[in-house]
Amino acid sequence: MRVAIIGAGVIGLSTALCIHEQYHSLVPSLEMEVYADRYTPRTTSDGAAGLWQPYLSDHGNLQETLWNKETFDYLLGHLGSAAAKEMGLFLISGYNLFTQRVPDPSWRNIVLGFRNLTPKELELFPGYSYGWFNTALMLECRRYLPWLTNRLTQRGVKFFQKKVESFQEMFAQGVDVVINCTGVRAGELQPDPELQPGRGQVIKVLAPWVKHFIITHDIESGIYNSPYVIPGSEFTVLGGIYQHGNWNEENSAQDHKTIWENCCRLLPALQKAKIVEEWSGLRPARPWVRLERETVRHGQFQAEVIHNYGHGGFGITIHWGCAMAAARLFGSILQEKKLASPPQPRL
Amino acid sequence: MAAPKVAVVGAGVIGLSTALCITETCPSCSVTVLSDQFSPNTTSDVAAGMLIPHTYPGTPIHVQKQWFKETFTYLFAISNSAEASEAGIHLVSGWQVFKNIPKEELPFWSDVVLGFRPMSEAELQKFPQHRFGQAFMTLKCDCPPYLLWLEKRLKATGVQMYTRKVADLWELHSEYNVVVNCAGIGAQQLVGDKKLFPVRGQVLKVHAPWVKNFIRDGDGLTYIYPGIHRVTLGGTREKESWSLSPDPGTTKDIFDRCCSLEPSLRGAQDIKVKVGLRPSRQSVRLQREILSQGGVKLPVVHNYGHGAGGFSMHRGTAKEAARLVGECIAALQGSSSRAKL
Repeated sequence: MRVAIIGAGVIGLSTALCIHEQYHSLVPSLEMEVYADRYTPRTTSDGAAGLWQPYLSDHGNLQETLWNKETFDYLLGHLGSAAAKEMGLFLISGYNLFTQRVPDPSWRNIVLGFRNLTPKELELFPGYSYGWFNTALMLECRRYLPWLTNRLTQRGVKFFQKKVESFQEMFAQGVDVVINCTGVRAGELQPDPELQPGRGQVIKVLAPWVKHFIITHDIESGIYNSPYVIPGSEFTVLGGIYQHGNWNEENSAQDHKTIWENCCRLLPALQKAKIVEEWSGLRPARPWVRLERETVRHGQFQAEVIHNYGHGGFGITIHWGCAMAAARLFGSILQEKKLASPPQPRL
Repeated sequence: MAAPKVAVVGAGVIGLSTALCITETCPSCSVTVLSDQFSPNTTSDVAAGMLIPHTYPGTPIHVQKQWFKETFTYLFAISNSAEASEAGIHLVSGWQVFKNIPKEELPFWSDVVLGFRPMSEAELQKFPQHRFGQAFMTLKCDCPPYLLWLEKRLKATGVQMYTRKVADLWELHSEYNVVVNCAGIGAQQLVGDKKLFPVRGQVLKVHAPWVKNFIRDGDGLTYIYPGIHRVTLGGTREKESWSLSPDPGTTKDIFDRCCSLEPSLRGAQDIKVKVGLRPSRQSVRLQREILSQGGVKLPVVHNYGHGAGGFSMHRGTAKEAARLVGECIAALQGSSSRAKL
């Protein structure tokens, strides 16, 4: 049974690991391969700061909220382990700021210690009259992706530097199941008008005195179009750009100015921070995540594709829940092919 | 009197902040700082600089609260300015956890720090050996940056600083009109205060930049305080110990205790060990005294004995000391004008 994962960002590698962990002992013939043209540190995931935080509203999409929770709980469970540092996983607290009262988010009970900001705390942020404080997690992909790669390599999973041009190309090679984790460029394998780039730009600075994340919100401009500051283990990420439909991966001087001025106004101490790097990336935006099976005719055979893409600006936040869901879909494929025993009792 | 000459003895956080307050309240004063040690060799340099007060049994609570509030407000403003990183001041949030429910659930400073509240059940799960906890946000003063920033501001106002070991406050009587004693643990020898005693603290300063929250055991012995570049792990409270040499057994013990609170610290790098002697006393000695010999008087203002609460109280006590200096000068000017009559 040959399984090919296309895409080596956080979604591709975690889905690969999740499936391998659950099924390799049940399917002795399982051979897994990863195909991607970009590997860490050049994936979209690598540019993200790594903060676990879903969008403000799940728009009634309870499934996604459950996947977010599953991811948070999974990561929280790993916090105390020896692997945490190598994974790039740690606790972090911080603020969400608003110019008006807003309802509590879908994730208020998932994170730790969620509360409203006190008036004294709001004094720190002129222009913002309402906000939250909570403790969440950071998962830095510059460490997490290499960690996932190591786990996969140890398990005998093979990696190929290759741009896959079609699903057929994989099936012609003898692949039985393709896991499509191609992110923003999924449309190149199969047209998907729902999938659009949500272009973002960030400035990475040295500001080790910043210990909290600060995410501001402007209900009119929309998500991520308002300044944010996210301190990592080495750098602090400044951002606040979301351009729907913009495919340009080049850094924009105008966006740099916007980010820098807005973030320095938010946190005057940043004026003294040294700029280390600038990066642009394309969030794979979609009204909802595409996570489903598709049976594809390949000559006289049936081949299977599991789609797992379209995670927008919350890929890290939702990744493990989606990986588990993709693994369940894989399990149902195995069952149909009678390659595995009846489903194990799993969550 | 033309520019009154004030000598401040001691260049730790108390000496430097007191000198600065004096320049603010008495711009015509000529202030000089004298100390045998300057940053990075003061007791203050070893401290984590967390604004979590230590309670002095001998000082009324409302006074301690006033000192803390003044200090917190002053540093809060700096943390929110472009100077924050140079001054080493930053906000940090975290948890104080207790194995046994504390007697007082609300410390006197709970409404001065930010967002003080009991920890939730979910938060406490991270600390299986602890049954109760408090979450809040406070300020941290990284030292040496803070002391260097104070020195820079002092120099900008014309304050001179000299390395000099003062053996006896009286030796300054001919050069200065008022002497301010901020000698910390040195006051035991300098003025023979037997109520002052060292409480030895050993700490580790480690590289663990993924630690963004503080964790403190309510017993005050085990704590993890993330600074700008290093995390301070502590500690010990050894009364009457004068040893400034790091003890390897203690180092291991501190590291183990901190790792049990925060397991990821096992990956900490580049462990540096430091020792400081907290200048401890039942209450901070913050008062005027007149030294006199052979008809010559020397007004002295004492500001020492802050123990474990130096950073938490420094600005509040410095302002009070500056006020007392003002009283000394007024008294001197009063008597000199009387002498002119």
